[in-house]
Amino acid sequence: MANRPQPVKSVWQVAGTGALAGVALAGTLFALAFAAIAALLMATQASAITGGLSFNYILHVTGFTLFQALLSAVLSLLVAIPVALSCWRRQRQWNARLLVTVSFLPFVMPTTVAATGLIGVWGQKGFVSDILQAFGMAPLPPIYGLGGVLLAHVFLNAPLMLRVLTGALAGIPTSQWRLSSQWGLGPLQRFHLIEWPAIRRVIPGLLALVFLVCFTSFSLVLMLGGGPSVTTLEVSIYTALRFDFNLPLAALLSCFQLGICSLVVLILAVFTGPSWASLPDLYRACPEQLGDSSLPVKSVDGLILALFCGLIFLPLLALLVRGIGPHIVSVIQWPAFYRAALNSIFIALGSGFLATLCAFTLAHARTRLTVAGTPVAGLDIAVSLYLAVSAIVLGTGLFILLRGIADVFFMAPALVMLANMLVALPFAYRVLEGRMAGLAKSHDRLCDGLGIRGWRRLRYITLPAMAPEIGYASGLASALSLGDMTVIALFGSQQFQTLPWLLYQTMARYRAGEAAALAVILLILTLVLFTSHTLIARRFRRG
Amino acid sequence: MLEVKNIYFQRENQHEFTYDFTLEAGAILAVQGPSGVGKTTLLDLIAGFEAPQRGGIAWHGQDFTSLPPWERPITTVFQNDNLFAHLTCRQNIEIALPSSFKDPQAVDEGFRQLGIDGLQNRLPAEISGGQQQRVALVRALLRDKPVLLLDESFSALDWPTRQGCFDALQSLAKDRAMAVLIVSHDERDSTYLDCERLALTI
Repeated sequence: MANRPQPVKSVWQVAGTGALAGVALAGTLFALAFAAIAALLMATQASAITGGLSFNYILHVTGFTLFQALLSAVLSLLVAIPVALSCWRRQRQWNARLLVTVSFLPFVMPTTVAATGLIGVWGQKGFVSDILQAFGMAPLPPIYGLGGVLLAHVFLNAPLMLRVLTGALAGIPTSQWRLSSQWGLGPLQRFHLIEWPAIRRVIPGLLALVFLVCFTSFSLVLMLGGGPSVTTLEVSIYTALRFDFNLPLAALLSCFQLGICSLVVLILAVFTGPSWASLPDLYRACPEQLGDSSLPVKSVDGLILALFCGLIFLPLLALLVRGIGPHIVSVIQWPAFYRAALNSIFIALGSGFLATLCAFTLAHARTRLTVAGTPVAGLDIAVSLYLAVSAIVLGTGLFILLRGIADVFFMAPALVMLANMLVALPFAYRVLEGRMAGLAKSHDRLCDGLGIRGWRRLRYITLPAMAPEIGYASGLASALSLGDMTVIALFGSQQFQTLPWLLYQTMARYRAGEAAALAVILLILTLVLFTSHTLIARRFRRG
Repeated sequence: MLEVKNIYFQRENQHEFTYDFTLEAGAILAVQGPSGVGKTTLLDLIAGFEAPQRGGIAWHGQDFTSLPPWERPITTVFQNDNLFAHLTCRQNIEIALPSSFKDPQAVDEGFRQLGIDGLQNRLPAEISGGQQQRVALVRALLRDKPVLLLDESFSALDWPTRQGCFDALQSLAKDRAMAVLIVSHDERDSTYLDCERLALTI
């Protein structure tokens, strides 16, 4: 019997050169983030907190940011859980299906558009006030303040939670539903024994994610905050940088922001659940349970779904009613509108493409290195870093880093594209990474056995098989970039504007009609951009 | 002739496996034994998905133990997941054929031989599990490799369909002088094929 010493292969021989590109990219991401953080740390001075701005001010801003983010996350969850259960029970009903299908919409919707829509419904001159006044009652108080911020955060994040929770409910084995039906469990017992254990697993991660989104909320607080008492760290950084020209204070606040976000990202890494990014499986048949069709349960479900539909669709309706009409005609005659629209589309397409390309490269490297038995935590951290380093922190770091060597306002388009790409990267990565790992599991042996390798495998197997996810990731990244108002707030000028920034400025000039018209156009552009990516990807899949 | 010469293989903290046998070209060998005895491991070693710690595998005297799976004279039909979900049945076959293969009618002929004519342009999700396995078998036969490994490939088929596949397999193995290893749990398979048996034990 011949002794056969195993040939020692390097990790790169097993994982391939594609993995090397991913590792190099992760290294670049690390370097960029650390350069921005180092620039912030060097610019931070203790003297920043003297001269009118006390330490108490920073504590107050930090405390309020934490408070509103926590409250927003909890409120969103409290809204999302009953809606998810009702959607799941009524999965054959058109309104439940519609809700889950459009639940992505508030997530990709530009926050400036969301704020405009919410003002149209809940503002002092909004729909609800109009109805109240028609009945001789007093109008609603101004929406601006903590209430408005919370309402907007629930509007944007409850649908995201609904998406994840219905995904968790879809993961319950059919046999459990059948058993509960055979045992005659009531809705409460079923919730306790079957539904709650399934959704409980995803709640910590979900809360952490939404907390992070609300903690780094910028444009909503800027538009709905209503004054210095309702301000977050993000808005304070922006104010310090653009209005007070207090660079050390901006850097100090950014460090505070970064520290807290890093902690939340760590929590997020510990609690991993079904991806919010995946498409919920509401089409898997779930046998109807005993008692589901009883009148009280049906009535409660109907009421919950109707209220949630109102929460989601009324602001959109308000936008359409106020925005479509003579104001659109007026807006499309502004030269600034065309400049802003072109800038927005160019930046969105560029950062969407780059984010998807980087996410794909990193996901590929992660999959190949996992197959080669190499730890991949470094790749995950390189991406998650950009959840902690929010757009405003990154932008401030880049601002400080580059201002000595270049004209940052001249470089604004490239910087905005880069920052938007980095902010969208964790989301695009999350969409692609899971799918690629699954494909490797089912395709590796088959492809190796059939000799389908390298470019051939990428072109004919991997890319077509992943086309829906690639389309979704690039659509999502482009839509997020199109709606961004954070980075442009730092680098924007009269010469360089985007649509969200133009919308904000129009609203700040109290031109509500034109602002609503701009919001409608921005919303339509977002939807066109998002769906066109998905449709092109499907076409590619068909070949 | 396929030679499996004193192969020794052990995964970390698991059973150790040894194999030693030969199989003539044109012959069929049924690998049998209870679960966990190493039937699939044997096929993985021959196909190159696992590397043995000792011993060698050769075809007509040429050792190919150190070759990667795609350079071996082997083609495999797995128990499931043999087809790419986004490709039609015809594309699933054509993608695995060398670019020099210029006989589109041979693909149709293969479909006819295995009783699945008309499914060429369907997606895998649009046909049954049994039909998917037969598409995979058409591909394996058209790849024209001298050794065919079948890992419980037909266990999902009903008995009459399975008999049809075995008939096609027997005649093709003989015509093309292929060595066929078939892993099966069902005694009826080896009885029907009237082939050699390799009984593995722990």
